[in-house]
Formats: sequence, structure tokens, C-alpha cells
Amino acid sequence: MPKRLLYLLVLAVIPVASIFAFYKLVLGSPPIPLPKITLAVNDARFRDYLENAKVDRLTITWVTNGDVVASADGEDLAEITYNLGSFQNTVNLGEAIILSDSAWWVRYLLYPPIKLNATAASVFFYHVIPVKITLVLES
Amino acid sequence: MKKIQILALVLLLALTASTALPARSSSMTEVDETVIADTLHKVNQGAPVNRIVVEMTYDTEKGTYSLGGFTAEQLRVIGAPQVNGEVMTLLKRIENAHLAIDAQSLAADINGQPLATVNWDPLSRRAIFDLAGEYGLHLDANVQERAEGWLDVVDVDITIRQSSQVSQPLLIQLDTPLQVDVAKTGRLVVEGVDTGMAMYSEVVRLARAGSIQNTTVCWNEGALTADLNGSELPSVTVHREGLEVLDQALGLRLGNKEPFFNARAGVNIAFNGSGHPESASCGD
Repeated sequence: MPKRLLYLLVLAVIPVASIFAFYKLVLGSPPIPLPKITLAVNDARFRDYLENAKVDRLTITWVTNGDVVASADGEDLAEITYNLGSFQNTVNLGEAIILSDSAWWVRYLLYPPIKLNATAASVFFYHVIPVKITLVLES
Repeated sequence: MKKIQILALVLLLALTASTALPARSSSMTEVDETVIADTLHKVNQGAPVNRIVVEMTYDTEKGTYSLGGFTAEQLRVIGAPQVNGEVMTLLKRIENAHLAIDAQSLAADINGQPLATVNWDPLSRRAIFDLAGEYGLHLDANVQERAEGWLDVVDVDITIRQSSQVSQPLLIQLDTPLQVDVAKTGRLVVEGVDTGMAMYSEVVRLARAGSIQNTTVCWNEGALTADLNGSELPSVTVHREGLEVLDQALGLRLGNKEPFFNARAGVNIAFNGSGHPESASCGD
């Protein structure tokens, strides 16, 4: 490898590694908030539910290091907490139920790469860089 | 149903055979809030507790009642029956009554006067079971074993009294999960007693598809935890505001929600005779 290329590579890696170290060690790896996603749900039943509960909007916040919170008008309603083990157990249960009636090629050809990628992504967003996904549901 | 009748008869036999002991000193007309505080303290101390405190109030003038902090209207929503006239006539004669059951004794009071106290221990309870067996009311060994397991740590306090007020909130603090068996057909057996009911076929199908042999689900003052075949699942925490919103949104008319957030109980469900692990518990 030419010396110049190695030099450029080191120059590129050092700032990224420094920022990452600062994020992990100094800031304590806080979840990075992604832009809010707002969905207007055009469903009469959903609108009735919100009206009955005197709620304007329902917000689901998923922090990928193990926390999902449902809130309405700023008040927390319910919370799901998980670790990678319990998350994986839930995925295993879901796949056993969903794939039990599926064709062999779905089970053995299509699903394994999807599962590999999904598992890698869940580990990355759980341990390395957690993100905060906010979904706002309005009627 | 037959086994429930047998259990009731066994309790009646025990009461009949017993001798009333000297009067209990304290008034038993109201559920003392210190009882609830004491239970919560024991739970916090980590001591095994299977505690149930139930109060029922009834207004014979209006013919209504309240149970565990819920009004008759709220209870009717979940299918509770109305109290008929005959029962109300009977209740008119009773100002208050109280039943306390723990590992050492079973005691009953009516209108502040002691009715009967049975002092018992595992040996005398076995004798009662044997006596019932002699009269043809045989309880299976596993039912006896489970009943004994419960009675050894149980602490039940039941009060009924005449009042137009809503009764005190129900308190359930159980460390021992209820054992439920679900057969291939969906037939439900709770603590060895066949309920005559069946689980929804769709749930049985999903359990089979998911290779679920055993699951423990625990509710602890708003937190729901579960494991599946011994593997932990995510935990769910329901906040008071959440239950309020759910109640209003779905029109459940739950009324007083406090009992839900004082309760601690669990169930261990075994599918297709897979058995109940000894490690299944709802303790911390």
C-alpha cells in the first residue's frame, strides 16, 4: 500500500475514532434522535379510541438500546423494556409461529439472510450506536 | 365443580368439628389499612407471602353491594351476578362477618362475636383430607399437595359488612404462581382442579406452533414479566395514566384501578402435560 494512501486512511480514521470514543466514553452513548415520523391514521375506530380517551395524539418512542414507550399528550402510558436476550427470545417465538406454515424455500432460503441482517442491525443499534425513533399517530 | 364442592365440604367439616376459642379482641368490621401496609412491608422484606384481603359491603336497603373496591355496576360489566333477594334477606341479619385463614388457623366471626376457630397444621390438615376421603370425598394426592403448599404460606382475610360505602380495594399479593395445565384439546386444569373450561383453540394452536411447553406470567404492581420455556421475554410496565386511557378508549368501565397497582400474582402454564418447573416463581 502506498505510504500516501495509508497516511490518508489514518487521517480519516483518527477523527471518526475520536468522535466515537468521545460519544461512548464522555457522553455515555446517548441515543441519537432521528426525525419524528408523523402518521395520520384514517381509521374511524382509531379516531373513536382517541376521542373516547380525550387524547389528541399517540406517540410511540423506540430507543434501540432496549426501551419502547407509548405516551399520549406527554404522559407515559406504558413501557416495554428489553435486553438483547429477551429481544432474541421474542424474535425466535415470532419466527416459530410465523414460519410454521410457510414454504420450505421461505424458511431455508429467504429467511436466514434476513434474520442474519436483522440480528446484526439489532446488536449494532443496541450496543454501538443506539437511536431514538419517534412515531406520532394522529387521527 | 365437584372438587370445589368437596373443598367447601371439607372446610365445613373442619368448622363443625372445631371448638370455638375465646373472643378475638379486635373489631373485625373494617379492613385495617395497616393490614395492607404490613403485607407490603413483608413483601419488601422478601418473606414469602400469599396474601389476599377482600372486603365486601352491602346495602340491604338499596339491594346493592360492592366487592374489592368495585361497585356492583362495575362488577356486572365483567359478568358478576347480581345479589338476589334471598341472599339480601339473609345478609340483613348479619351486621358484619370476618374470615381469616393462615397456616396456623382458620377463624370466623359474625357480628363481632367469634363463631369458630380451627387451629391446624400440616398433620391435622392431612387428617381432614383423610376424613373427607373416608366419606367418599377423595382428593387426588397432587391436589392435596398443592392445597397444602398454598395453606402453608397463605394469609387470607375476608370481611363482609353492611354499609352503603364502596368496599376497600382488593389486595392480592401472591408469591406462588397458580399452576395451570392446558391439554392438547385446550382443556384447562387450575391447581389440579378441572375447570370444565377450555382455552381458545387459536391460542392452543399458536402455542403448538411456537413449541411453547411452559410459560410463567407475573403481574407485580403494574409490571408484567414473562418467560417462555425458561427464556426471559421483554417486560411491560403499565402506568396508571395508561390504564386510565385504555379504560376510557375501550369503554371498559374498570372504576377503581388501585387494586391493579397493589396486586402481585402470577400463573405458570404448562402445555400438553409438560409439567411445572419447581423454579417457577414470581419473586424477585
